[in-house]
Amino acid sequence: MRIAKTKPACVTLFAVVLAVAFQAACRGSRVGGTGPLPSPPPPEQMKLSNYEPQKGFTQVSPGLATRTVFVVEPTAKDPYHVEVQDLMVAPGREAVSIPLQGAATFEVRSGSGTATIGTKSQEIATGSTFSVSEGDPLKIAAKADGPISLRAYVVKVP
Amino acid sequence: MTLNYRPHLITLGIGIFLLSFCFTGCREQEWHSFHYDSKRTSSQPNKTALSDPAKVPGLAVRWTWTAPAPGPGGNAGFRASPVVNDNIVYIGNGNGFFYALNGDTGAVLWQYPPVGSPALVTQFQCNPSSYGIASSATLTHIKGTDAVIFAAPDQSIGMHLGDSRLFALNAKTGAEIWKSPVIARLTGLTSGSKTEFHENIGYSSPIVFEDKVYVGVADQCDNPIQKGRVVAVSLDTGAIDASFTYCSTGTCADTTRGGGVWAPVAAAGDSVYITTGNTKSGAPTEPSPNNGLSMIRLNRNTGAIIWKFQPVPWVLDKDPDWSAGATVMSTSCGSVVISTMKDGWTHALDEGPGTRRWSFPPATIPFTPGDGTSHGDTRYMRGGAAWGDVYVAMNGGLNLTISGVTGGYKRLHAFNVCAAEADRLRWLIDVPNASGATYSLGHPTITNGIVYVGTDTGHLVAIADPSLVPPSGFRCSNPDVSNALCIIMGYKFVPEPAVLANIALSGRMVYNEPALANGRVYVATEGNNVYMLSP
Repeated sequence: MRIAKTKPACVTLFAVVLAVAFQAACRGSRVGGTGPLPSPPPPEQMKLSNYEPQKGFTQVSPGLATRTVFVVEPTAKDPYHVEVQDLMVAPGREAVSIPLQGAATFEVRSGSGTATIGTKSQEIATGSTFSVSEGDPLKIAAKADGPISLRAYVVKVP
Repeated sequence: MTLNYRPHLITLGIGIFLLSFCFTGCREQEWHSFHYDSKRTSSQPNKTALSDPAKVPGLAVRWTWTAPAPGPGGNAGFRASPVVNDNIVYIGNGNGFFYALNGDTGAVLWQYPPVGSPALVTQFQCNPSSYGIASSATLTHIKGTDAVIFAAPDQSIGMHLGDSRLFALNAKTGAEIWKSPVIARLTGLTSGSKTEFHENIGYSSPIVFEDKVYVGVADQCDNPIQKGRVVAVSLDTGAIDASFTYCSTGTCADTTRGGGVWAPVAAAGDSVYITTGNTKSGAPTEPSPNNGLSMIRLNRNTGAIIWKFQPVPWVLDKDPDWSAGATVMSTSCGSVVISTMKDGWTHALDEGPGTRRWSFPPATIPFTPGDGTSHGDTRYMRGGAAWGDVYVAMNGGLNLTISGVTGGYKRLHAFNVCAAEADRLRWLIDVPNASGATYSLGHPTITNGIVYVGTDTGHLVAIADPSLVPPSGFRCSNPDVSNALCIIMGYKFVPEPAVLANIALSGRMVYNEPALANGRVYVATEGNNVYMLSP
């Protein structure tokens, strides 16, 4: 009597274990291991990828990187120097002086911060535009939470 | 002696239940629908050799099948993707025929329509969505019979120009079970006509959910745009379910246009989820209501809108159709509905209320004139792949507004869906052997952290999440910024995942997804081939 009751219970248990094991082998983990990855190693231990931007920025002064997008050099017939330039200002720094070879119109392409032309300051953010006359000093500060990127359309009139 | 059968019967019952449950689980090693399932996760959850990083480098072509050359009105090449069940591969071709192939050998088991019958092609051909059968199929049961359902143009109905309808066939024999009435109307061939219907099912693969089949209706390459619709038919009979109606603009009866449902419909719970195309396209005024350029949750029985997310308003509509469909993700932070628009932004919403969880690159939504963003007919068109809390997709990247919209065409981003914004980007890779041209990548699929994607140069690439295989290196989160300037400029380093396999096939794979079934990859190309690969 005792055996008759125990045997089916054992079989049931075995069936459950078998099925659960089969299921576990059959199915992968849906969510486990898909949280954020560990932080990257410190720079000295980090293996960098070979990726290089096609048109990368070059640092021209502390906190300021630029790249040239397009240039038209002056000719005898058309003596205008036209340059389209991208600028990136690092976050969390004091205002950075922007060297300009002419008058310029700026378009903020990403981020937010402050532009100071001479002594006049204005808040700028993605989508903002402003212009700077030739010779006017321009400083840009990015807000602390991220860099600010701008596209400058610079024209130098002889 | 009296035997007590009750414990044995209980044991037998439990055993049968568990085995049937287990059998169901194992059957999911198949690939029953475009993007795998009704949630369109593009994710094979079962562990096979395809999810074993040690075996994936051994991936090699085991067979190749080339579709017959097209006849009149047909086009060579596959824009649809394979679906797989019981070792049979199902796929439609640009030549207007639908094929069932032996999964072991690639031998044709049957074709539909039969040899000698007119092909399923349309007379209005303007881009690959109208080349023969561009819509991927779905597998189901109809009254106890294994069935395959697909959408195709059919010149035997309507105005005999190639109206689109659904076909349900016996999956084993190819015999017709039913053919739906006309779903997408083609009533003339006059370019730009606003009196003719130029509707098209195109890439919107049908999905079976409960007792209905859902499919989206868009247009013939915006010539001109049509009223976007979702149509539901009875799974048993193919009859259009009149109790379900959804139209993207105005009323279903008026002449407003737009909001094409180009992408596959997703379904989960009591709802279906759609994404819609543009509505402006030369229209003088905004239609009302305007459900274009939206990700939308619909009541699955009625088609009524439960919520709508419209990041790009009509005033900024320069045709950034939602070409990728919605994916419904079950994550550790709840159910999330996610997709990428053609303009390069990925948006993640909480599934219940439809509230926005995040956008990437980060943005203030809705976009507004003067915010520095642009929303045009660009090519972030492919669905993403979901794996737990991870979503892998094409995306414009952190340089989207800096460098212009095209830079990300060959790039996959992986996102931590539930993480804080600072940790959103999980990894980043420029997929090898993708050209960077407008159509560079196909739809990625994933199995337990291994991503498979096709490229425009005909390569199938397998990429390992860095939780499985150490990354090949780290790179700056902004693709415009070199490693040397990354931290200085306020960006982070993120892993560039390792490439486990990179196999040259023949023909572009930009409309196609690799189906990951039973430890094999089945993928089709515009080179007119279906391949089976295994480690």
